[in-house]
Amino acid sequence: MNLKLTTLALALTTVLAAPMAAHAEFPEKPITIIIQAAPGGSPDILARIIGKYMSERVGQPVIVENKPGGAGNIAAELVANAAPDGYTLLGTSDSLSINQTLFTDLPFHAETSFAPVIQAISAPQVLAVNEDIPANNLQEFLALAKSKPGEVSLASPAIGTTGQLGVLLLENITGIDVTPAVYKSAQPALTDVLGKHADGIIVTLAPALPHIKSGKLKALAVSPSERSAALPDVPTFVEQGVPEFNFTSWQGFVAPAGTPADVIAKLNTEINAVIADPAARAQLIEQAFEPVGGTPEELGEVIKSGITRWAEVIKANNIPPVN
Amino acid sequence: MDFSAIQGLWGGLEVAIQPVNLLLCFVGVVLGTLVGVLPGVGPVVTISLLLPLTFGLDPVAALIMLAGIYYGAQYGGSTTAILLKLPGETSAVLTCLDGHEMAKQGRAASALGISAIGSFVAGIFGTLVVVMLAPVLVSVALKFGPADYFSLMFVGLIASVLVCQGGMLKAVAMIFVGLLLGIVGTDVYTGIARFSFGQPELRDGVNFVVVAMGLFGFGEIIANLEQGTVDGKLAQKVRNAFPTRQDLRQSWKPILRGTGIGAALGVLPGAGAAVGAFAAYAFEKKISRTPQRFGHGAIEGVVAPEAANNAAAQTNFIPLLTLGLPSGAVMALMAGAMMIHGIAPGPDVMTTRPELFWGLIASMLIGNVLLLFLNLNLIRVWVRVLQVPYALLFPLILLLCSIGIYSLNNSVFDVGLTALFGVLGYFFIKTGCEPAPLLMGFILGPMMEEYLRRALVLSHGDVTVFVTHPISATLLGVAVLIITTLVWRPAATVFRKASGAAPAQPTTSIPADTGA
Repeated sequence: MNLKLTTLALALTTVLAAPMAAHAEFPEKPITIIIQAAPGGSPDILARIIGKYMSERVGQPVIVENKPGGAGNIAAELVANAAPDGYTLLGTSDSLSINQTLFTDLPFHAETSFAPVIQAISAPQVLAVNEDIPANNLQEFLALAKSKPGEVSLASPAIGTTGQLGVLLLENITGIDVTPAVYKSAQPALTDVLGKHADGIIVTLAPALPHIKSGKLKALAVSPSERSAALPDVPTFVEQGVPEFNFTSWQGFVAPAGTPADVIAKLNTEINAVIADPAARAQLIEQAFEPVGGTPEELGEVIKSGITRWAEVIKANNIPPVN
Repeated sequence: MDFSAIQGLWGGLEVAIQPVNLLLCFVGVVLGTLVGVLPGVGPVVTISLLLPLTFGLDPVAALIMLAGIYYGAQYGGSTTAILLKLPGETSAVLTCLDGHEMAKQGRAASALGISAIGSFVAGIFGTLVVVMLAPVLVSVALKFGPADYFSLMFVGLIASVLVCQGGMLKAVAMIFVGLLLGIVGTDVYTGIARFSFGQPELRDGVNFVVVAMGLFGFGEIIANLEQGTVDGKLAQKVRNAFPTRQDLRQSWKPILRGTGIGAALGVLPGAGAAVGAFAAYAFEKKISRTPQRFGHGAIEGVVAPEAANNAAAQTNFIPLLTLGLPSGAVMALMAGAMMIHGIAPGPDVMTTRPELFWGLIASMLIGNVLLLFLNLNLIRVWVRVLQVPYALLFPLILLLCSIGIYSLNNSVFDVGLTALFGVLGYFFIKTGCEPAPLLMGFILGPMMEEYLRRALVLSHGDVTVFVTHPISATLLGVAVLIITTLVWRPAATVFRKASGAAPAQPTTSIPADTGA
């Protein structure tokens, strides 16, 4: 009886498995997402939320592996050299575009070494100052900075981040001259602004939000061109007469170049479905991420336009290339 | 405010004694003790591994467990430092110096016992500081600007000369080697990699654990093997299992002083874990009537830095819980853990999630009591480790260290680098150079540089900021005072020599150092 059942089950499995193998075999083993940050950082949290829901959908574990360091290039190089089968993905961000210009001898290329999968989220940027600074909107801040060239200090998270390049971009666009102060990450930069050792900061909204809400920081302007749902009263740079300051910080996933198109399409469909899932979406919004989604081509365009934009800023400010 | 704090703490205790939370607190401190004991595997790695698992837990329970791992590791970290001279954490470097000497004299159990007691006192005191003074202290901490941090680091560097026993010249030389090693890595301001020799792994600098493990642990193993029979060198002499009354009498004041220093420095988000322990050790040695005992098994040299570690481990939570500003890697992970659960760490956690804030703090009190019992009872087990034949023990230590080091960045490169530092450590033992000042230079150097440059950027190049800012000026005054006392005695000896009188204690190397 038992034997019969087993035989039957085996036979059934063989019959059923054969056509399935021909169709949608991907993924038949765990998928690894390598991220450029340490656990607990925002890229880590994103990958874990996406990974958790994706794993439920595809029926395979999704493993998040942290490879921090080297400005993200260590993780990127790993994935660029991984087998192009869709089982190794890179969780990445603006840094992919920025590093392409900032570093001279990268062992990979942001566009040609990777196959874009999807842009998962975007994160708005905010210009905020400490409560002692006599400016309540962008124009007052620009007037203040113009009246005292070189005296207003703007902190930024770290070299090669959208915050640091954002300070330079703002200088280039508006002609103000501020003292940029670079930190190792967003938290010590915020500490110095809260302690009134630095005057202001350009940073991703999420870490600054609690201090803006408590009134210790004054938010003067947000980017991109639409206001953030978290700060509906703070106008954008575009609204306040600086239309060129219009970018977000994005995060998304890429695979090694040469990954088959149907695998990329499958990954894109699954992650799009995760982003559309109300529960996952709520978790993303809780982290002050703005869920995006879309096609692989759209992410490719984002990476490409990022390279162009940041190359201009890097060259205009004579930032020395790193090797 | 005091009354509401007590009320809050009471509410927190109700949260913390719920069976699930109590269980996870226990799991956390046991895990913490274990990873503290395992060389190389520290709380950072453990918490990062467990962080994803806490996804499904209630946020209060998750934070209680993760915090338990952190302060539990501070207890456990002293174990390998004392028994095997392996500092797994930055803060345990000081415990190695006198702790391992005590072990060599057969007082391993006393050293372990008294550090557990010192850690307990400091842990409880640190937690109470968080309860009573968090809002006040955090506003003081925010007053520390880059110039003040620079001066604090400068005092630390000067004080590290006090930590060594040998000649001052060698100590200063070792500090400079440490400063040079600290230069390796990406420049914060330009992003340019310094001395990375094209290795992407060196772009982020050399990891502290790699240097400490290599210089202390691996170097010691090579030196031990050279001596041949090391079996039972430590084990046979284990006599008294618990600290004697004499030990306690000698320790209680250093414990309190270490607690105070550690608690104060732990509040500063930019100071780092090691500074408190170093300051506590240097202070004890400075005020001791018998400073020559330090480095040869002085019990004050074990308890003061241990107390400082644990007090700082608790007060580290102040900037995170009151401002959402993590100080250091572990606190950044705690912030991440809160964010995973949709709680933005920041000033409003105390009011919007009182059960979380107070529950976490109350769990620390419970956790410290658990840790005291756990660690006092484990002493007998740990001491037995020393009875394992060295031929079996040392490969095991090397294996565990290598696993731990690999787990830092999932990098084989780091393991190889540690081996290199092991050879260097052996060379230092042979030449009588002490690695502690090197580590101090290595830890403080990069921070000092970062703060110096930032202070100058923010002051638009005006160097007077260091003396016009009151906190910075005071700290520099302390540094000048230490330098004066360091130079005074040798200088006096030189003068007395010159005037023909016989020097009281003819220390040959010191007068020569004065000129250097």
